[in-house]
Amino acid sequence: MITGFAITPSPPDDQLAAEQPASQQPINQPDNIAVTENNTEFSDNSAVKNAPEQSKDVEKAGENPNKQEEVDLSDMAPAKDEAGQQSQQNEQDSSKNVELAPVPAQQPPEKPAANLKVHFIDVGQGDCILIEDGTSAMLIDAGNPENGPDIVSYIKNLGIEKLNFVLATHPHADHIGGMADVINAFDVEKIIMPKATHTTRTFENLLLTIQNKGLKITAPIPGTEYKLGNASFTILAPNSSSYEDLNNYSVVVKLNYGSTPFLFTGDAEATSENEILARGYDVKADVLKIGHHGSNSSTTERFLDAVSPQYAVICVGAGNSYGHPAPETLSKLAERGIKVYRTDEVGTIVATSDGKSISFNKQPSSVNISSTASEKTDKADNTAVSSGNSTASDDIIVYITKTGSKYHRENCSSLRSSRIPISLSEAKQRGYEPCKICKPPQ
Amino acid sequence: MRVIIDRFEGDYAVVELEDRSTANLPRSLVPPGTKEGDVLVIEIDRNATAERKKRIRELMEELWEE
Repeated sequence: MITGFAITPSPPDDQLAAEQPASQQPINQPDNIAVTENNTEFSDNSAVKNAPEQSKDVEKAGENPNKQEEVDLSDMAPAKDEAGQQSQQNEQDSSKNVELAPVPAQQPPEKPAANLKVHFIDVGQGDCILIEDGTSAMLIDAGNPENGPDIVSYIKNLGIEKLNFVLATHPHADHIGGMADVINAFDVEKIIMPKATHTTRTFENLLLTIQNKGLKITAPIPGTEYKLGNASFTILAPNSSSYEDLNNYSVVVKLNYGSTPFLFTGDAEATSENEILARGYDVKADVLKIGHHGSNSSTTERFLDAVSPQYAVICVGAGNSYGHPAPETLSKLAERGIKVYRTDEVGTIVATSDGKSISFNKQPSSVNISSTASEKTDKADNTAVSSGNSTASDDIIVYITKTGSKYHRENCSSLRSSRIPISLSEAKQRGYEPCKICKPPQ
Repeated sequence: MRVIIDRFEGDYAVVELEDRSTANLPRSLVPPGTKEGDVLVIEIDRNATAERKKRIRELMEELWEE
């Protein structure tokens, strides 16, 4: 059991949470540990189909595999077992949640500074974030199609009936998957989605659901600010009208609450990060939801330095087949001493802000971070000591590319195609100039 | 069977199946030039199957002693 969680002074909340003990078990099941790695087979999500309490919609979806050839069934059987174990394990996790993450009551007897809570709901390999501030709530993304019913019960168990905002960052299935279920289950005030199209049934189903409910969709306009209870949020992206990759359509949102801003980036990649910086937006935030599950296509050093977070949260499935989060991303975070919370390690994560400081209900990640961090710190120290000393610069290794004219730090995103180590003095001698993005030693 | 490319992640194309679940398809199985949103048809080629069966059977008949 994790101790030291700052329980906030809201007695009715605890009561409310205690009244609904059975609540959160399904949502934490992250699915994939079992199924992945198995190559071409069904991906990370298939195990989640076994989730209890499926809505009609999803039941229908879940039935199909049974109609397929027998081979499929036998293939899936072991996955079921393991998924079962997994969800048991997560049941324990979620009971922790119930204790540790008190829920704001719908009608607090008095109104003490209601805390802002940000739930990074564990949906395996996907994103799902619920923000609640007093009686206002907003959902950013809704995991994969099979997560829908669990997301709905998680939110309902918090006593929430109305979502002031539902935001779909972009139309990939690991972000909009369960959103139709959410829209069907709650009173939804405003839906924000980029006007980016997709051909999947998941996307079509979401649009039809919105249409059936007689709702309209608001396109995100960067710079626009919306109020959410005592908090507000500002749209920072997308800044272009068309992109090759759907990820870059991701709606990026900065949540402002007292002096504890959060930044949610969806799957925005380097292209969008650079545009945000070029627009001159204030991206500084205490908590950064790392873009694209920690993939190396996001979280450029320049963007990370501009955000300069104390905490990073990575929404990612355990044992996913995509190499998320990328080691490069983790070392960028470690180098800067940023505390990292990962849903694949600790399940659902709840961050609570009182407007001045932020506490988490889970422990930060320790995987490989400390060793990397100290190693990097040593390097940085050397650099600092040797600056201005031309002989010592021989010891510093920088990196060049086959065709470029700049030299780079080890982790610079420009090194993706080629990466040739070279001493700093030689690089300078040969006329290479320091990269403006990664700002290597000079 | 038709599957739709939802996205590309690492070495995989993530495809949406007809029941709206998703599965990983190695990129090597996806025709070059495939983009997000493209619909792929997966089908059995009956003629090619029959032809290969016939050819292998003939080869076997030459090789087994009985």
